[in-house]
Amino acid sequence: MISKVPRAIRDRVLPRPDQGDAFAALSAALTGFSVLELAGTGVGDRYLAFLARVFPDVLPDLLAAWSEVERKPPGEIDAALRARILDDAKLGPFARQILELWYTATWTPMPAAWNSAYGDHHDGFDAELTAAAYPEGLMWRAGVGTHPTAARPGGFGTWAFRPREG
Amino acid sequence: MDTHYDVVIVGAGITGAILAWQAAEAGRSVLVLEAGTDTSRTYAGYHSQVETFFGAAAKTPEAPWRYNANAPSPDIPGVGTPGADYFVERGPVPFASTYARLAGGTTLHWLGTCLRMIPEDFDCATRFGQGLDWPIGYADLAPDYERAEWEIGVAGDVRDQAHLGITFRDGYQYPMERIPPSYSDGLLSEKVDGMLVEVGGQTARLLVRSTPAGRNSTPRPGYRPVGAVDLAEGFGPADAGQDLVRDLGERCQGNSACVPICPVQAKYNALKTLAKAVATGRVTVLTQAVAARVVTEGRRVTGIEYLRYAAPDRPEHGSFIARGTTYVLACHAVENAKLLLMSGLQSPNGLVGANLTDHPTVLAWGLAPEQAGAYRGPLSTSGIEDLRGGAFRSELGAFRIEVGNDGWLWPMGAPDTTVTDAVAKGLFGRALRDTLRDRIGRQVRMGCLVEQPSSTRNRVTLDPSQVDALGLPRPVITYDLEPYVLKGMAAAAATMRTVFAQAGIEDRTDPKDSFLSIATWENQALPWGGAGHLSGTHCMGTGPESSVVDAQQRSWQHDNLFVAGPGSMPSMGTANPTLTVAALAFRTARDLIASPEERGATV
Repeated sequence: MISKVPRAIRDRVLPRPDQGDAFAALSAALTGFSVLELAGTGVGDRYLAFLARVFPDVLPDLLAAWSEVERKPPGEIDAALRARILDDAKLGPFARQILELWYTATWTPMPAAWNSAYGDHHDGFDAELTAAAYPEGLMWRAGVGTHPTAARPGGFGTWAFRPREG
Repeated sequence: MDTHYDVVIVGAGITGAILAWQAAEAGRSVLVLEAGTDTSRTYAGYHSQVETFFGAAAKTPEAPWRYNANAPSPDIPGVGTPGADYFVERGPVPFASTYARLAGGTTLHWLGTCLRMIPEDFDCATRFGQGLDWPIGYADLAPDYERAEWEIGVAGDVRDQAHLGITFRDGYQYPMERIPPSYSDGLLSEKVDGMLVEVGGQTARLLVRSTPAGRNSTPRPGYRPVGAVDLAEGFGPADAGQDLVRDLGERCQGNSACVPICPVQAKYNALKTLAKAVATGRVTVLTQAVAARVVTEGRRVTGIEYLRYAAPDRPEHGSFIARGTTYVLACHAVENAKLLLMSGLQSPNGLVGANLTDHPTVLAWGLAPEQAGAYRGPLSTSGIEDLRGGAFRSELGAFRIEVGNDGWLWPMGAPDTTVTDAVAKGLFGRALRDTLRDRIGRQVRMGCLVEQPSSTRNRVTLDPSQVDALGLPRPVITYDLEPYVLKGMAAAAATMRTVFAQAGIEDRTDPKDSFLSIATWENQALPWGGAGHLSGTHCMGTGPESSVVDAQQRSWQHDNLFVAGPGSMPSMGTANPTLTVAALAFRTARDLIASPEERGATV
């Protein structure tokens, strides 16, 4: 049956070789979810494709900055991530938007102040990408016992049980 | 289009579906005119609306149901969707409730709550000096409540519901066992059951009760739950080779999406009754057919003029007249009033459109002391009903407390906003994940549905200069919250604070942070929203001087016209209205079938 999975779907699951590894590692550091957990959502590559298409002038800077951060010892990564990326006027808001994208599965357009400094990228998800991403929001996985509204139901009566630490 | 029908019904929601089915079972030919699309009537079409919801940027109750400029319906004010501008709001308070215009009607996005009204709700004017009395009482409606509960398929237990004067026939039971109360209901119940609160000088003892709901649960003997419509033709065995889908929707799966859309139709919608009506072979459903005028000659209706359009996004249409012996307007409170008014059929007493009512719902939200399982299961499975009745109703509005399972979704748009807030505080990585892990499942909320007595100041009118894509008038809404309601809302907020304290819930209610409307009473800010419980625009009563329809929902002005639905209700008390609306439809069906002109009707 695997062979019957459409190519378009398989391609979404597999990371792109050029920027995929860096984007996955940065996303893991931002979200607190592992690279494997993020790959399990199946939408990371579509997020990356969206960012590469809409922010071609910003994404490479972000990934380059991450490659510097990534070389730090494990105990210093978070501090370096904050100093080099999150506190940066240009990269910080962009990285936080990516972080929120992972959790909420929604792309919120960049704030007006950022747009006036770095250009309006006319950024927004279309309905197709919104629909594909929606059940994959990490907020549903972060909560104890939660599931996406209208997707992945627990089954009849499961709401009566103590929520399980997932 | 020369066909003459025994019955012509405007609106394919729960009232229209029950009346069509009952009339057809009695041998009548029926035409149902529906302004919106028939998308939901096929399984594939219904499911496509789940996809529409997934793809919607703003996931409001209206999000799955594609906006139709030719049959526009309202959306929550301020969300930026086209429907948010459908009502012409004259204030002083923005009307905050919505309804749907498509086959299946607003039952497509109702919560499913099926509480009966309590006996004192039927004579609130006599007992409390508030609003309008009904021309009938609880005992008159009780047999039809039973019919409605079995048609909708209500899960409940009479032992939980016999309170404040509600009685059941000996041996009566709901068709399905009660929906299992949520884990958080249990936590609340442990702390709150038996506590005393004071409201309006009266002391009440509180009890967390399961809420009866039109939602498929474990059936009692003799009842087969009704699942999703159109499975055999859509995704049935022949198509997919999957026997399992034949049972789809026969149990609630816990999708936690009753509003805006139950993906499997385990929650009742009027499409189920409509399918039974059509299966008789005597019912024709015409969708994309917008009733534009009730045509009359003296005391008789002679036709319904309707506009039929080919596509929701294009205004081109033809104009036709549907003819029958008896006519029923069943297109919900606002649209029923609108149709009468744009036909020039305001009643001499001026009461068509008057008495528009809702349940202003005051919300409170907080953090439970332990993981409570938020965002799981039906959006509400229990309530506190002890303040639905009492002598205090002469001074302030009664209320019921709906206990939510949907976290802070309604007041705050959580959990998305929980993420945004945490990120704005500088959290990321493991610290962010751990914070959200701690917070999201502990989010609890309650909502008090507050009684709003009928008032002729709250009403639907028309302004000829404000029209929709087909050139038909948009509803102009004048709406206010009277001191009686505001006092009830303030008492409701105080009661929820007391309950939170008793249950160890950290109160996080903050009107400033919320998307909700804010009302004020004695310097207290009350965050509130609409309940979607529109009623009262063509109230029933004992005579033509003081009402629009009689106790059978028959027009006082036209002998062969029924105006049916929640608009006929002189009061709702604190009960979510759909069950009562369905009971009234059964009552009206008997009168329609038994009337002299109908007895002589050809089949």
